[in-house]
Amino acid sequence: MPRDEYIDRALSRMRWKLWQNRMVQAMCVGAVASGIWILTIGGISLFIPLLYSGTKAWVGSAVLFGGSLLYSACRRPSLRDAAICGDALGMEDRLITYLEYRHCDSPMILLFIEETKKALSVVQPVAHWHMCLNKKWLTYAVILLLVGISAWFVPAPAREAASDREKIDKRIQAEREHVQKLRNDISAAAEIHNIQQMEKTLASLQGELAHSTSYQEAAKAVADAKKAIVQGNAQGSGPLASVAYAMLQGTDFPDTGMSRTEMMQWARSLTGNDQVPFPNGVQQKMLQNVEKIKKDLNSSPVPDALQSAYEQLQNHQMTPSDLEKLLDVQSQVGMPAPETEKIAGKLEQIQERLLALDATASEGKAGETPVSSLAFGNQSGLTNGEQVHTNGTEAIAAGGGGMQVRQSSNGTGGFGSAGQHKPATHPHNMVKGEEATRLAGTSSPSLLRGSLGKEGDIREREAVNVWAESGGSGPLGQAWATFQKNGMEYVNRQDIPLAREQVIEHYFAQLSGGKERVAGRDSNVSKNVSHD
Amino acid sequence: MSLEEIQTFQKMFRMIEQEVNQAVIGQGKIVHDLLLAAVAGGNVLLEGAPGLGKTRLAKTLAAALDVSYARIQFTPDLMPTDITGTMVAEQRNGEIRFRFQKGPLFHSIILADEINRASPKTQSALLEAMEEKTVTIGNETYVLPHVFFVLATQNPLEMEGTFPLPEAQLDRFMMKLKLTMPGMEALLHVLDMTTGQYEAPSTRKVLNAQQLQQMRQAAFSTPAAEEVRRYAVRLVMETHPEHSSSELVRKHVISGASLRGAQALLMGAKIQALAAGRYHVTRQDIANLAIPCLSHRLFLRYPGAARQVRVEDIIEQLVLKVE
Repeated sequence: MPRDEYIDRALSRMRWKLWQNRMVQAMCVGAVASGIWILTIGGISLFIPLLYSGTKAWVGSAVLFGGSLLYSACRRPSLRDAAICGDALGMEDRLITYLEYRHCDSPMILLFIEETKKALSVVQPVAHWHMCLNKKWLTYAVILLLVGISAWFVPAPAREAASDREKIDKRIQAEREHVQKLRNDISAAAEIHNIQQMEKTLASLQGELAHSTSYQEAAKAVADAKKAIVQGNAQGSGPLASVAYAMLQGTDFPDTGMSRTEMMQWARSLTGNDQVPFPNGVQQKMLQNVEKIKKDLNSSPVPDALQSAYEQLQNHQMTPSDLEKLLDVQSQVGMPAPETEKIAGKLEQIQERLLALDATASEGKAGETPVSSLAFGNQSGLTNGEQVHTNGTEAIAAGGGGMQVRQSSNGTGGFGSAGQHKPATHPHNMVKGEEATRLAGTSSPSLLRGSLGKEGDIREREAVNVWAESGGSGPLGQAWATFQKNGMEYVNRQDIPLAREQVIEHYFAQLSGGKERVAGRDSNVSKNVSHD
Repeated sequence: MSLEEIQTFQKMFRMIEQEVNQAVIGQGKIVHDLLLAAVAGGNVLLEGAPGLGKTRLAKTLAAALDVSYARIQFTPDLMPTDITGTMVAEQRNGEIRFRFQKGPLFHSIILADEINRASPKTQSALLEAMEEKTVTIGNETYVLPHVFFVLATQNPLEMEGTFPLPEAQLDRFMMKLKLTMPGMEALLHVLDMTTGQYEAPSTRKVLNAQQLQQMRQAAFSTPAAEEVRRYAVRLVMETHPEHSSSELVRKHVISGASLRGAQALLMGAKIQALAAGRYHVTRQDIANLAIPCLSHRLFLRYPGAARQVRVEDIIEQLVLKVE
């Protein structure tokens, strides 16, 4: 066989060099394609936010680049291709002729192979082979990549909005999954009163969350669902289960799906004392509602508790304590079951998280935390407000009026993603806020709980020494009013979401005197005391 | 075919080329191409003005090859039997028998001088001889010598009263070579040789018919890669207006070269490669023989001819275009 190793080796080396060259050229082509892709996505997304997707852009470009490289790597050049390259470098068709006739055995071929070897040693095409890059493609690739990457940094409100919306969708989707988990828990529970109504409500909530485009909208949907569950459970327990709610319709009762404890807090806020009758206006309205309830009962016997309440209202003697007794009676015929409380609590946690996310998003726009500014007392109207801020745990604002603004965080400082400010006069909510914001499994004692004590009522424990010394409610009332006025003025000037504003407003509305300051956090109280 | 025979090809080719160039001055390229055709066994059409050495070339070649040579002067009254031979009656022992008298065609090298002067009937008498190397008279077919080579000449200036060769006959010539006026030095040398005291050396017999046959066999065994063969075919295909990508061809050419053109290209390229000391055919060998082998096979439309479009220019463009 006339095959020659020297020529075969030269052809193999030529083939390998050709393969490398092809891969490099494929990389240039891939880089051009990637640049075009990135530029297209980045450029068009400036105008059409729907197309915005950083992941899609980079993954697509990586696929294009890698794909072209892989394609060239899989297309190994043949010996014939290598021979053609070698002939072009001065071998004058010898290599291609060698490939065709190397298996022939004739005197002419032998002479030809000898002559080819001599020519190969003289011409040395392998040594003279140089990687040839398509400079034009390389230049295009560099320009397109630079321009494409730069396009991503061009500020675009549409793209930023799309990016924000993407984040919002993701977070709301996470909450949807929590709701789904809740549904699964309901299905697994043995006995839940009014389970079908709850499942229906939760299913509807999931649908609304899927269509929500903002945290506020999602939080409102959650709040509505919670209210529906609580009310539905209460309504399903018989006519008396809704007596308390029906009686309070038309008064200042917030009607936000409050539980019994919340209802009592509200009631006490009206009178200041369990034994003090409700304001006449409120009692009048309650009387009208009871008369309506009695009329609705028609020929049904009026329950004793209702009749008793009716008589008290007629005498304008209805107190929060009486209302509590009515609620006790109501619990005997059906109060919201513990499971319902649990579900409502979890929904409230979801709501709080969504509101916190909304607040965080608003912070980004406003540039500062409005409530913390309030607590810091940076505004002129807040001379009585001051915040002692601890390092990322809880902060208490000490004010001359004894108002405490408590902030809980999940350890990140200030408002964390799961943290939320809660007014101190809602200890029940504050507890829940604490639970919502604490990291799972934490067992560190809560300052709030320490101050709550058994009853869990901060207001009772939060007494400002100044007030006790002053011994009167007149100056106290003025201080409260001034503080409330200044505080709300500031709040109204800030870009605070409506839900949060309502919470703050409600907090101010609940403020009253006789609060103790928590020990160890009154370092600045003395200053305020002097002002007071 | 032995190694020695192959290795002596170049030497033999150079010898005969040198010998002919001694007698025919200033036509080196023509002599080279003529020898290529001679070794390949193809016929050549020489075109040139009178006095450029066409007849001398044929005579010198015949002398150098040590083969029989005949010159036929074509005239308008020349009959076919004048070149092929005829039956003659002869009397022997009181009996009249007809015997075939071979004509001048029965030689190895035939110089058909001014072939375009003879009638088409006489021209066609050459067709069978040139292609098949046989002559048919009546029912008898006579084989021509093994080495048979027709060297036809024509004068491009005197076309009046001539019979242009038909396309079929032109296609049977392997090459068409155009003799041009040699340079000053060559002319001076010719003058010295012919009018002075300088005696031109006589032509030696360098090769015989058998050696020529061996050279032909060696040429047949020269390897030509498929790429090279495809190149020759692509070149021929490009001469056809229906297959060509050339604007010039589509516009001016009626018909392109036939398969004989591709055969002529490849055969000539193989001999050229061996003559150059190489043992393989390259694309450059094909390209070098494009004009001699194809120019007489392309026929122009009348408008192209009227605009004096040259076939050689078209072929040069095709050589540059085809890869």
